[in-house]
Amino acid sequence: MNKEYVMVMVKILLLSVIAAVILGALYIPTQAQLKVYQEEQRQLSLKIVNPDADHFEPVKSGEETLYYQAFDASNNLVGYCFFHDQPGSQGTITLAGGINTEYTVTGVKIMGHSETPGLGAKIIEDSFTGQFPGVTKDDLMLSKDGGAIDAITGATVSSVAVIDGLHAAMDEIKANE
Amino acid sequence: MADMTIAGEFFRGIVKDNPVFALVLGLCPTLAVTTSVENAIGMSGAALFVLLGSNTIVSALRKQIPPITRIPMFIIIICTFVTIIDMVMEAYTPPLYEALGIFIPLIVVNCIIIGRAEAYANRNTVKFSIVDAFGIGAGFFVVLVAIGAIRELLGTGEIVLFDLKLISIPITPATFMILPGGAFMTIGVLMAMVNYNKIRKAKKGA
Repeated sequence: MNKEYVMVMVKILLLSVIAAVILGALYIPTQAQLKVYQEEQRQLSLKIVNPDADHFEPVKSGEETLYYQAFDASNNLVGYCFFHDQPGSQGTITLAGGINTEYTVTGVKIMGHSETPGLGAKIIEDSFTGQFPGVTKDDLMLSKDGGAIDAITGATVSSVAVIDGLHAAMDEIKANE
Repeated sequence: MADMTIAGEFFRGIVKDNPVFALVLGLCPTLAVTTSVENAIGMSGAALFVLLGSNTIVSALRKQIPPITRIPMFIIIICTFVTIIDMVMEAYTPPLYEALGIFIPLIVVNCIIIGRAEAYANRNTVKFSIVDAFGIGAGFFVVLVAIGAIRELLGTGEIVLFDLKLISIPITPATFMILPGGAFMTIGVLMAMVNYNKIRKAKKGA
């Protein structure tokens, strides 16, 4: 009787181990491919958040890319682009932002988030991100605080997180330039 | 079961044991992903892959799987294949992955797959289990594409397949068809038609 139970356990264990090994072996190449794809997406996003720019140069600190300098076709610096992770109301919001040299926003794109569907998740919509282009750093706050951005109804935390993220990234660029 | 033929087992999966209309399994993904033909193809492709893998392994191991723990063991096998397709899709076909989203991981609990493992693969040879997987997979494919085509055509006025516009009709798109309500309506009407035919045939036979 006992031996039978042991055999059952051994079989489940064996099956699990085989499954784990197969998945582990597949994880490595698929993750590598995923990184390539994400990098492509990032390059495309740079163009979206800073449409006037022609090409981008990463500003690095060691291996890590801090932000990107945006140049026009005749190699004049026209602005900066950045990716920033900001804590939202449910999880991290990854946003891409572009600004010109006067620190006026040229574009915002939400790359990833885990905000509440139907509320905070609306930060990805054009009706929200479309408010940002043309807004100066001083006006970059909620309209109830005298700024130029209308918060999403019922999702003030998520809305503020996007704004705070932009400010944090801009401050970082300001400190560097 | 002595008179099983490969062709018979295959077509049984499409007609007599059609997973959606006859067995009424897997309705959740059927309703959710049939907003377009492209999603329908992606979903049934993924389901076929998992079904093929799980049916093969389950039937090969059927003498080794202890009856008291068969369900957990089926689930481990199914999970493995689902995770494989999940990782591969995410890496190599990101747009499709985004469109199907949560329904890929949910193939784990898709009752078509565990249903076939329990009712068929656990009792039949590897050869017939593979045929069964192809048959049921094809049945699922036919239904999903049919529903997807109806909903996409009526809901958007055109059918676009991998950036290729196949058909375009001059109607005002009824957004309702793309929403969940349209899925219920389409599947209800189709199922009524299938059952009507079945009853009529049965009466003729009698």
